[in-house]
Amino acid sequence: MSLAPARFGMAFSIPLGSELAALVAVGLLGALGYVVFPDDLAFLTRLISITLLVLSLDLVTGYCGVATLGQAALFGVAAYAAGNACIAGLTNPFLLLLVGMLAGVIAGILSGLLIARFRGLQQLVLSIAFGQLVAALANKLTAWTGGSDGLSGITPAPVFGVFDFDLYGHAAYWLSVGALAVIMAALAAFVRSPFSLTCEAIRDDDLRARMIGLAVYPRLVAMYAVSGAVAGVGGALSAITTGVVGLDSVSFERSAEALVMLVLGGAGHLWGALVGAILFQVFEHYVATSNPYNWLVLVGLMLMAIVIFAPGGLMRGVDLARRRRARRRG
Amino acid sequence: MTASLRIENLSRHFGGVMVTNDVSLELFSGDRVALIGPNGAGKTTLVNLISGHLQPNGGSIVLEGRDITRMSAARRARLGLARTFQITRLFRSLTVGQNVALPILQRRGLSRRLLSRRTNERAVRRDCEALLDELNLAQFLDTPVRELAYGQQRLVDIAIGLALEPRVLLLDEPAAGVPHDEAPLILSAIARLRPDIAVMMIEHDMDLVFRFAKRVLVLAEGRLIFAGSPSKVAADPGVRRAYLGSYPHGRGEA
Repeated sequence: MSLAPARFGMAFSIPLGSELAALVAVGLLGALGYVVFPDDLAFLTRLISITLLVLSLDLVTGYCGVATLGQAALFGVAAYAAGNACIAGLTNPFLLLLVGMLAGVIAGILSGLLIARFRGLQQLVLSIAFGQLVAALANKLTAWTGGSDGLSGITPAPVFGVFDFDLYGHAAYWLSVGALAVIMAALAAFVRSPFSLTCEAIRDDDLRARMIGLAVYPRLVAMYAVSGAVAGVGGALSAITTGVVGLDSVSFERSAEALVMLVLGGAGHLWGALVGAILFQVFEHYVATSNPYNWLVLVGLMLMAIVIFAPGGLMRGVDLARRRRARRRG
Repeated sequence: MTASLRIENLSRHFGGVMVTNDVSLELFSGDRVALIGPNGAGKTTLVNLISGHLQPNGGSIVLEGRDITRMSAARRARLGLARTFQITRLFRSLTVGQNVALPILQRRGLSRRLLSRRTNERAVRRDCEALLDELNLAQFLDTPVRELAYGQQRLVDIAIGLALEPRVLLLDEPAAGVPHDEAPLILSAIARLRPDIAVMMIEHDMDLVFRFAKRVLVLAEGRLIFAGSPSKVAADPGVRRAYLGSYPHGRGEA
């Protein structure tokens, strides 16, 4: 994996190189999307909020090995929190993102406290239970969530007081691209930190991690808090940019789909999460419009092909190819 | 002189079977002790109890004057107790350097950093390289551990234990499963352990035991039946009885 040289190979690295690369790459991708799909900005905006959910899942599943099918709870709680804050009069979009982030952190810590206690199947079942609990609450607490009608009437103020959230969706799109770029850059630094390395150690062998003095549970809960922050920004973005929050944002399907995207791109790899989320959603979007009857079959076939031919995900395949080439040269 | 590690009346049973039965022992700074015994004598269980992987039903464990009997395994490791495993347990997706950096980060109190600091990384890297150099692993710094030969993986396992700079080191059959041509690597690594740490090694290979140990402890059916010098162990009637009928000792599994 490319992690090793990134963390140890200091001779050639530019200070903050990978962070800058993340910032620039996301910015360029954003510009590319804007130029190539100018009529689909609403779709691309939604894609970005889901991408943040997949990134947040990567932190706990890819980096810590936590098996979870309840990650959408973090996303959804934040979306409802941001939506309610907006309706209550806090309309500055940046403050709303902050509200979503905090709500996500709280939801992340709660879910981590429950889920990280266990391993394997128990963990998976508990994560589903946590997700279902949040979904059931969202359905019942209609005063805060609008129940099955959804929470609507979310009208944030213009970005910087200038760029309105209008029908063209330019402000929503660029706000989303900016948020994703900043988060990718922050995560590029974070996943190279000593803390993240200890999480990877826990994923590989939690008993051995304990035996070198690492307290496993608190570390996993801490990672859940970071994950909640990322998912929370995603949830808040979806509330701000669409103006509504529905029950689908806390649904089991959303959690499951995020996991599929992560596996597709490559868990334990930031770019894997990003690539998986983008490819899956773009594929889904275009196949669904061009072939509305068989699109699910095509999505299923694509997934099978990737799991069979690139079992570690697309980015892992790219990594392996790069290393093989480097070895042949050296 | 206070013992580095003092174990008193340690007991543990699984169901009705006493796997560790009233074991008391002391390890001192600089000690080189071999723990031997027939199959199923409870050697690994004893190491699991000491390292905190298992909880005892009775007795106490004191590390440098501090009672650690009820402490978590992680806490014990932070206080200076390190162990290796009979079957290598490494962080398999990480490189050799990262495997060794982890205990160094922990020991230096850097393992909670959420954003890396380059100066600290450099210090960690220096520690890392020095340790790997000692074990002839320096050229594998950026190699994923899973790509190493088994003997070298065992060395990395020991390196992780050493990187903690422990006061007490427990080695569970460090040479088990290592091909013969790679065994000298392990031997020389063990010979170069820092003189002031207390080391207890589970080992079947009597050759290695004689070369390494100044004292031998013999465990049979959970009880400590012999403690003394390596030269006397083979002549002890109790030890002979314990091994008789079990298996002719040599290389084997516990």
